[in-house]
Amino acid sequence: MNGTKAIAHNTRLKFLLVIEALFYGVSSALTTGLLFVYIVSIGAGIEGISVVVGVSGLIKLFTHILLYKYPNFLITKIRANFVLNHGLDRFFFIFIPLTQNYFVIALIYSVAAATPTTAFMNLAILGSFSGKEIKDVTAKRAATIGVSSIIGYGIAIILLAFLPPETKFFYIYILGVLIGLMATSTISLMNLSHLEKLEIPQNIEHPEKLFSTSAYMVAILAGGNLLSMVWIPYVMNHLKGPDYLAVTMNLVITLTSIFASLICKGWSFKTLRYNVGLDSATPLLALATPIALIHPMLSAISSFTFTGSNFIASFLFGGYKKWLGAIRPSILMAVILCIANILVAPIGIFIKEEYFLLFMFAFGIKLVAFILASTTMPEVAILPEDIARTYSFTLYNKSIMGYNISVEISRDTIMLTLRLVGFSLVMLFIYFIYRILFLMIS
Amino acid sequence: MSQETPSVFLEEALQEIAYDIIASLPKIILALIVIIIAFLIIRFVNVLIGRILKLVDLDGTLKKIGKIDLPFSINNFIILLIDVGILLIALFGLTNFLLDPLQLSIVKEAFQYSSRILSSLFVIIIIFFLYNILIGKVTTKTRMRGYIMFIIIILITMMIFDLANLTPLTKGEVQRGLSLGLSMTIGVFAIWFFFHGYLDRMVSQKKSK
Repeated sequence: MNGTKAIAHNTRLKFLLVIEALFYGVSSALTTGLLFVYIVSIGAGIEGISVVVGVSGLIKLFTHILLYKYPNFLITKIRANFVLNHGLDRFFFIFIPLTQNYFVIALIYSVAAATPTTAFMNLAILGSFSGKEIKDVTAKRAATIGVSSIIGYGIAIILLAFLPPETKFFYIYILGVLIGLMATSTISLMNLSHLEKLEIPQNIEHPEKLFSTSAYMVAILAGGNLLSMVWIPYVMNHLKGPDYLAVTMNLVITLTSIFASLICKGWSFKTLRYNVGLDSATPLLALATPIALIHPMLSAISSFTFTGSNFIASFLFGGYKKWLGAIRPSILMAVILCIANILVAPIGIFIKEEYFLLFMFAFGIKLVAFILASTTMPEVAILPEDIARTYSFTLYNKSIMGYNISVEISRDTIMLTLRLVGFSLVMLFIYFIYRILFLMIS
Repeated sequence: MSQETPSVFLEEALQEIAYDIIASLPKIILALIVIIIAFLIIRFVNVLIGRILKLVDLDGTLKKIGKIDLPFSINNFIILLIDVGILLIALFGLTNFLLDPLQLSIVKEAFQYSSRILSSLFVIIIIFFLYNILIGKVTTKTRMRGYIMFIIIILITMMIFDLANLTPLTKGEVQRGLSLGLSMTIGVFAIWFFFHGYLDRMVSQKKSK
């Protein structure tokens, strides 16, 4: 492609990616966004939500780990595959309101979640653009998704209020799926043939960098998820805030993330790192503020700093494509998202309404992210770059050693369990045979 | 007439044999089917249990944990136990079809008696096996070995008497005598074991006087 054609191609792709984000945001608000509401409405409660989140998270993680092992799947007939997976991801939601069994819902949602749509989308961005453009597209998409999800939630509120109770979820999900399929149709207009020529590097040049950034991203996402789970119930139940406060906080969070996406995209890593420090302090600020009405303001600070902190990882992964290729980081980011969700789910289930503990957990996880960013990520670190690099390498080596030991122990334990189960089966079989014989004789 | 009589007799005899064979043919076919099925089950179970036992690796585990080297493979022994069990089920199932109630009760008694013999044999093997391990692991004097062997022989004799077809009175008297002997042996040993120092001193003092 010559220069002018390449620019035109990139501009068109950027435009289509933003349009996709617009439709996807509305569709996601009407489908995924209402999933927990629907589960609660059928009387499944926390248990149902935990089952749906846990099962789908595990299946999504499993499929993405498989993809990481066999990444060629992503770049073979990419457009057809992307359209198919994106379409299935949206289409499966149509079956959710047809059942009231949360195990069936968990299975349907798992099938939808297992489609590697996020990995395809990451690949389309990382594989098509250079460093600055990646920042630009990521920020524009984040802002567009923010706007469109506000529209989506607005539509959802109106439809939930005015449609008949028996059929409202069915119609809302149909609408969500149809809008989602419009997002799918924009993908069919994208020219992604250049991604099929992408090469997958066999060796990872800087595994320690990849490890530090991945660990940081897991921590930042897990902390963010936990905080979002606990904050609104804390304000509503513990601080006895008025009903409109929950909606206001959600709205403030979404609006701030839109502005933060547009503002932070131009910031350097050294500036972005202040977000991580502030972000880790937000759970403490929330816990220390007894006046419910101040919390929307705090949630604005939290949303802004979280968006900035999240950008560090996304931009760094964008930069790693020089030596890691575009495919592996695309899948890795989806895997990290799954790990963060799976990590947080048990904390929410077991600690329940112990707000102090939950906030302290969120603070602890975010603090880990801050320590990782300040000491082991050379691009962001407060320490001199060479020292940060050494720390990163040490952390990587120690973790690999720990991983190997735990794998060894786990393998031994599994083998021992299998042996004991096998031995018990054989003994049971002998007992069964001789018991029959004894009954026949006596 | 005299020439016809043997031929008629032979014909009748052959006819009767033929009728007997025809009458018992379904039973023979059934027996064959049961035996074939039993062998098929044995073959299938051998493969399946063999794979499970290969994973379990009882011989290796016992060698590693207990430092015991058995003269036979436990895996093969378990498979043998299963095979024998299946065969016995098949055989006993067949006897239920083929034999009349009187014969069946004799077979049942034979089975029960054989199982008693087998269980006694099994216990004897285990006792000797444990004795062997004890001798191998703990340094013992020849006299001590003889003492343990003596107790074992008394126990085995009791089991053999239990199996023997003696009158209940004789059996009871013999077993009472053996029990008394066993208790006294253990009692004397216990006295020596706990008080041998004191006894030695007492004997030496008496000697010196």
